[in-house]
Amino acid sequence: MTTHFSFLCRTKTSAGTNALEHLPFELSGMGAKKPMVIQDAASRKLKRHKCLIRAFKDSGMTLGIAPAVPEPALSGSKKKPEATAQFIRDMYATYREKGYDAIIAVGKAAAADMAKALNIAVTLGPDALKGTDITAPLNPLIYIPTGVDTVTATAASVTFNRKAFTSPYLAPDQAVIDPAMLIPDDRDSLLDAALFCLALGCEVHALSGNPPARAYAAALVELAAVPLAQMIGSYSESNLKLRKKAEAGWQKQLVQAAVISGYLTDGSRPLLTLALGREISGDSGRVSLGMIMTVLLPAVLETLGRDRFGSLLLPLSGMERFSTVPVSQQPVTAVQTIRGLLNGLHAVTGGHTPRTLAEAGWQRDALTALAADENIQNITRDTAQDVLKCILTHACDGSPVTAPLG
Amino acid sequence: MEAFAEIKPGKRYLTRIYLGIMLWFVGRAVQAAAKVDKEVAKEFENMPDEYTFCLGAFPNGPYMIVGKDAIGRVRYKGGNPDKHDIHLEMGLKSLGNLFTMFTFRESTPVANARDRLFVCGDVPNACACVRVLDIVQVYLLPKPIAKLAIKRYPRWSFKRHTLDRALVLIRTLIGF
Repeated sequence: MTTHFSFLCRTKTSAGTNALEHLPFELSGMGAKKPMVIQDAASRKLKRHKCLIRAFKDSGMTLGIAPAVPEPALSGSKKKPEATAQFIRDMYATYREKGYDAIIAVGKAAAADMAKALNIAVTLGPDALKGTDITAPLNPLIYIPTGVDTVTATAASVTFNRKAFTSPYLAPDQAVIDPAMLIPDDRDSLLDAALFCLALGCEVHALSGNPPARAYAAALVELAAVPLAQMIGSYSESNLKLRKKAEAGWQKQLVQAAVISGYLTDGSRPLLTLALGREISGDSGRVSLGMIMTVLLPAVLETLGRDRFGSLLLPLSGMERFSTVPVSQQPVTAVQTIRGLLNGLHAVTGGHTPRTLAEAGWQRDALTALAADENIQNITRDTAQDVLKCILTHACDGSPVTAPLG
Repeated sequence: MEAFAEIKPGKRYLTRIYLGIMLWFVGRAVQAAAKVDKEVAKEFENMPDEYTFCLGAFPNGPYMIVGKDAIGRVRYKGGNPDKHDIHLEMGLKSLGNLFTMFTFRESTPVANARDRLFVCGDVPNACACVRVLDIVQVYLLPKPIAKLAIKRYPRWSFKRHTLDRALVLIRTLIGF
């Protein structure tokens, strides 16, 4: 039994029909009366702020609707840093001049990141964005997702002008998931988000000794595994109406999963699949982060889990199947289930989803070199180089870690 | 780039009128049921004298205020909470939530489970008030609609379903 752990999640999660209607009450509880709405280009184009205005009727509050945030997201602001900086300057001036006291971010990570950066500027002053420690609470921040995202918008961190800020106070005070605000995502985005959440949840559930984090991770795995299993069954559904209906159902679950995933990325222990996945997918650019993370996952579990992650099978495949598997076989079955999902997705997507890093375009030599890379060593500081090498080489050809390498 | 816009969201006048009428009717029905129904009377007996509670929507109502007077009689006290000393405030987090509840698309337990209800005051009396409101809704509404408004439709005696119900409705309409 774990006796020493700490877990902090400052974000309240509200999901469901009419969840938006609670916002005036919640903001009022935070002492806010005049929120500013920051939204990304897609939300602004589809006028999602109108749902928000409807929810604020009779509240007596005034909403400030900001122009769409400049694309791309702040995290990838290498292309347009001046546009994002100018946006922050403009919104900072408006926020101060008109007396706003809270921020509502509507959209995906671009809007959430911009809102976090603006929140630093309006609470601590614009100079704080040049780099400072955030040690006091910021103004109230609400995040309303409009779709799935693999960049964790609810995480307590943000990157602005290549400066990384991390503080528990950066996390949104509340995440509100209302079906009325969702913008349909394409199937590839849903698949990628599902795989991202599955890998993140499985790693935390299997390797973390933190009971509250494992509880969140179990919810995350369940929310991701159910749509993934359904995707395999109906990926090639030709009836457009049925397909859209199925996708809308998956999106509702995966948005919740994406929100929860942000709560798990702030732990003290770096997540290996996430760190390696970012390096590998960033380098290849051909395969998405979620897919790479799930390809790495079986090797990570087998190498670091030491056969003690049998309970992962419960959120992964449900009570009925879990109860039929002997305790000694549960870890193996859990890994087999993940590999089975990948194999199934590979078949239904016509080879678009890789099962191994080799299928994602990586050679074993390149992966061996990557394991010795100084940058990787810094990110995965708790993991020995030979362990990294073992994970990457097994993920390269998809062989179980117990089996000898071919 | 679009311009920055400052918007003051409007008001839902028709919703407010509908809810005002419903709360007025339910408030008077609580007063009537306290005289006719033994179960309602007992719930109020357990409350202290001059105990007043209100039900409404955040932040500006409408409200329904019901309370006991100095000699223990239950009275509907109108819809203005500023005029009374409120001991228990039960509210829905928005006017839309109250409208959903009073158009019977969501029962009180479901609204509570969906985190739409808040209580300022003591919880035991809040539970008693919810029980009273459930009984009153059974008196006021036809069975198919009442089933939507409460968790479980009660098994009452024939007298309670007919004579008591008629008395509650008459007393509600004439207001005593």
